[in-house]
Amino acid sequence: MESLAGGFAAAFLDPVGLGIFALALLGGLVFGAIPGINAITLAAIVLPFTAYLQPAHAIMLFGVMYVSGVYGGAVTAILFNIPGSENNAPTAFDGYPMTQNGQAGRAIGAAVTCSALGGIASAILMMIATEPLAAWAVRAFGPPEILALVIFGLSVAGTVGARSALKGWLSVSLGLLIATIGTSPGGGIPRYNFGSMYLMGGIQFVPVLLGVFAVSEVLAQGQKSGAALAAHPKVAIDFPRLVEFWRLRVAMLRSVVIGFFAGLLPGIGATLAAFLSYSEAVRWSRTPERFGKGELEGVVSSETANNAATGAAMIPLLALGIPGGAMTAMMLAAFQIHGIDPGPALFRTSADLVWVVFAAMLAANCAIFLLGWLETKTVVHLLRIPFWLLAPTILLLATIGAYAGRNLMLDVWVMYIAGILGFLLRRSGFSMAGIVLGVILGKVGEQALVKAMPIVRYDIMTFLQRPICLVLVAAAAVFVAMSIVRSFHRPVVAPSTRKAGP
Amino acid sequence: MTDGKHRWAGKIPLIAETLVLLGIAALAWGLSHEFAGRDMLFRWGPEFWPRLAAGLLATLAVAQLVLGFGAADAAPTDPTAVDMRIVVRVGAIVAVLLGYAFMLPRAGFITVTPFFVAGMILLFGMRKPGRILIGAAAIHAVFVLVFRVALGLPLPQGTWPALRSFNIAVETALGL
Repeated sequence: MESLAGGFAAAFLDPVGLGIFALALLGGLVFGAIPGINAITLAAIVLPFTAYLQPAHAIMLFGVMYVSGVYGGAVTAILFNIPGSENNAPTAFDGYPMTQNGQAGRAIGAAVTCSALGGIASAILMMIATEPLAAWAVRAFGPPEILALVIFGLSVAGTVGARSALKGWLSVSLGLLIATIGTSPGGGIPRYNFGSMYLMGGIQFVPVLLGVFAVSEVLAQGQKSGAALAAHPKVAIDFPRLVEFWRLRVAMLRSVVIGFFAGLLPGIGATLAAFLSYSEAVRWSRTPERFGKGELEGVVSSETANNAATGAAMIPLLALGIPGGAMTAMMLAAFQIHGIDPGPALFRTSADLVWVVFAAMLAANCAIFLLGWLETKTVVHLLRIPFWLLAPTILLLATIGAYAGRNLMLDVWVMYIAGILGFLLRRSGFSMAGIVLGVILGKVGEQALVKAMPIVRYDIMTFLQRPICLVLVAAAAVFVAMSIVRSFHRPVVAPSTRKAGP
Repeated sequence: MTDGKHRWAGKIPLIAETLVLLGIAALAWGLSHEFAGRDMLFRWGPEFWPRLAAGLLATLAVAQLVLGFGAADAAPTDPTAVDMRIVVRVGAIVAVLLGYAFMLPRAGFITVTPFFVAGMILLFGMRKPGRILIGAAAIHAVFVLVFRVALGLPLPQGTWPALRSFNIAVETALGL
């Protein structure tokens, strides 16, 4: 407690520190909300300037940006079906349908609260468990376990946002195939690139995300005629009640655990944490068919997990010097600019600096709650803007978001084509959420497979003899079997009468 | 139309969808021969994962077809019920989108975006010329000021000489 108090004092009693905290908080929120331009973009811009800051302020800047950036994209995901970042994509699966049902305030309120709670829990765990957890995670969770985790995630992915498990898994399979375009993770062998240098880098995820969510949604809105187009969704600024949060306490706790452990693992991070947590929420729910249609638990699970991953991602960085993702890699660079080596010795040589970062991240999560409460009362009024103004704004935002990554028009074309195909697939009952999950999990899964198989000598039985792998694969098999049995009890309707899914 | 013919007619979308999915799977599998066995590091080769995904897609597509034939017949849809105005509007939105993507690198962001925005405003129901012009100008101005001026994001300046010069002149006037 004394160390934490010292951290707070060092961070906030200094006017410069307070100013950096406020700028990082707002910058992360704003940049996190802009599709394609996330907090990592802002971090890259400010990195060179951190050489002029004190080490504690420099690291605090990145920690706070990370926390606020992860939350920032939730608002646009909920209001306009445009996830600001990949880790907010699952939030859109149910957040946007809630907006369409006139419950935008409830969705944003839930996202705010759960982001703050997930982040606070993660920050506290980070303070307590950095050293012992980092050592365990690196020893116990290798590529075979990550592969098993992906298999488990894929087993659930098929039921996300689809009217039938079969259509959901078809969507996931398409996503898996899309993820193979580019080069193989093993030997870097070009695949399906048709001689194109652009495709050798693979299909960029951000343009696809913007296409299937933002562009296809605008096209879907374009189907409405006359009065339907002019109608605003009902704007409600009701914050979720405490009893609703209490009802979802198990989902929140589960999401904290998933988010924390996913954030702990290098290379996994907030994005996979959010997807896995959402998938688990579907799997454990007694009413999984309600997901994708405006189920509050979907928003809660996703936002709790992605913020819970932020504190955990600091653990391998601080304790072992291993960055878990892009943002923590920036932090590593900031450490190195100031001549500090993160690792086991950091707690002995620069403990004060570490506690400043802990205090700042805890404060940032608390600040998100306050700022978010204000957002719930103000930002939802954006929905009153007529759609004839919103549609071109959304499309322009998406276009710039797609272009900004690599300054390539091909990314814009990919986005538009993904949007048109997404619109057509939605009309046929395919799940955009399933396709996105297939792409994300497919990439992570194949990378894990390539590393895992040499470890287990290409022997499936050796793979299954690892306890964590066995448990996860068995759970996946059970879930697939249950889904198949459940689908036989549900009447199947031929595709011609199906309406578009999320 | 007899019951048998009606039943087959009702399954046409399902059959078409299955054929498309099987075609995608077959294409992915067939093209995988171009890179099969070339990975010296991974014993199962770069073709393993794509073929797994293609096989899964094909299996699920066939399963959907089989289950679909056993499913309750859907009510016949009346093709004349399709609102052609909606089809035309969605088609026009797609055309404007693709036209914008085509013109953006050639005419530049500053020149072509106002027309894109105005076109979208019109397609989404606003008919008053004044509001279309003001809306297009306002949205365009906000985006240029926020993304180009404030954030300094490079946006296409165009390749057609006259329009490129115009775009650069505007950016220079904005202090860029």
